[in-house]
Amino acid sequence: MRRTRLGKFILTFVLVVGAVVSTAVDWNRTHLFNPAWHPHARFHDALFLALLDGTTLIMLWLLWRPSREPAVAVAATALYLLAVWTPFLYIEALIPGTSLLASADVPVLRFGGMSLPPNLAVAIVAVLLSLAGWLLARDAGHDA
Amino acid sequence: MRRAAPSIRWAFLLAIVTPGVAEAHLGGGDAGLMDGLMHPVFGPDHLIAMVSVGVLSMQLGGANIWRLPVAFVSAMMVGAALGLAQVLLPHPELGISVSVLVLGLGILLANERLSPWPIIGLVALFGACHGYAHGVEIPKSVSPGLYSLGFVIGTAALHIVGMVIGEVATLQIWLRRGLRVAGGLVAVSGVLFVAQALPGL
Repeated sequence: MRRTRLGKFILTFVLVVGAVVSTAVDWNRTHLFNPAWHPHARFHDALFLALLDGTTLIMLWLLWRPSREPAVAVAATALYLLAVWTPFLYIEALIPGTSLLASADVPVLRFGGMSLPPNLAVAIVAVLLSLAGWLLARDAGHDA
Repeated sequence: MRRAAPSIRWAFLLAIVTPGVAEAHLGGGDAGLMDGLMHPVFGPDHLIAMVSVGVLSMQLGGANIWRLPVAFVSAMMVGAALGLAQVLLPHPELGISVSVLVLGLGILLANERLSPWPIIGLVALFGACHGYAHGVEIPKSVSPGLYSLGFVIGTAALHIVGMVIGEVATLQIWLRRGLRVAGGLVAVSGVLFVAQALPGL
């Protein structure tokens, strides 16, 4: 029971923090209100934030509602989080002309000659925590 | 070709050399949120102490699983506010070093029969010390609100990492023993941090 609750708490943490951090990071003049951005690009950023915040609320409801199959909600939440955070790992390589960095002055983490954009670091942590949350809570409904 | 009026030229120059006005260098695209997120992660004393709080909370069990992290984060926010207001607190660095030592001893000796309230009080005191250090180190060029949000989230994530370690350690007896040994090593690192902090007093 304790393990399941911890797992669900971790999934909740990743859901809420992901939505809050993404909104806080994008709701400024470097992204959503950047005058240099094409209006349609700004529309897409607003669309992304609205989708992210809306689906986050739905996943929170799904994860915590009383259910006969709580393990399904746990798996669905973990898969949702992987769908949100894994694109950070490949979009830049997959689609030419895209960049993880909003501007040249974004501080980048450096480890022994390798550079790691901060949003990529956050995405990696989110993926790892999502997997940890799923592993801990995947037996939900079987361990009561 | 018309030249810009001197006042416009001066305003333009001022906007370039004053990051807060130009909004071009507010710690990158996030205005300090990422700086705040990374601050606990890249300070070894912060990192060890915050993961240890998560481990210790799982060892104490029951409602203490939530009480310890909540006490630490809440007191850290109070400490950060004091630091941001430049209120002088005596020896915060020593408090941070002692926190590593005491939390390590806690992991080494903890059991579910211990009264949690003195431990929660100590954890809150240590949280205030860590928060104070975050507060006084907030860069002038970033938003204090976003920076604070960043280090609160970073700290909570480290607590969760410690909780996962504490839970995984319950799977096998040798993992539980290994966790005690790790607690001893954390305490030793705390002694080294204290030794580093003492000459600065």
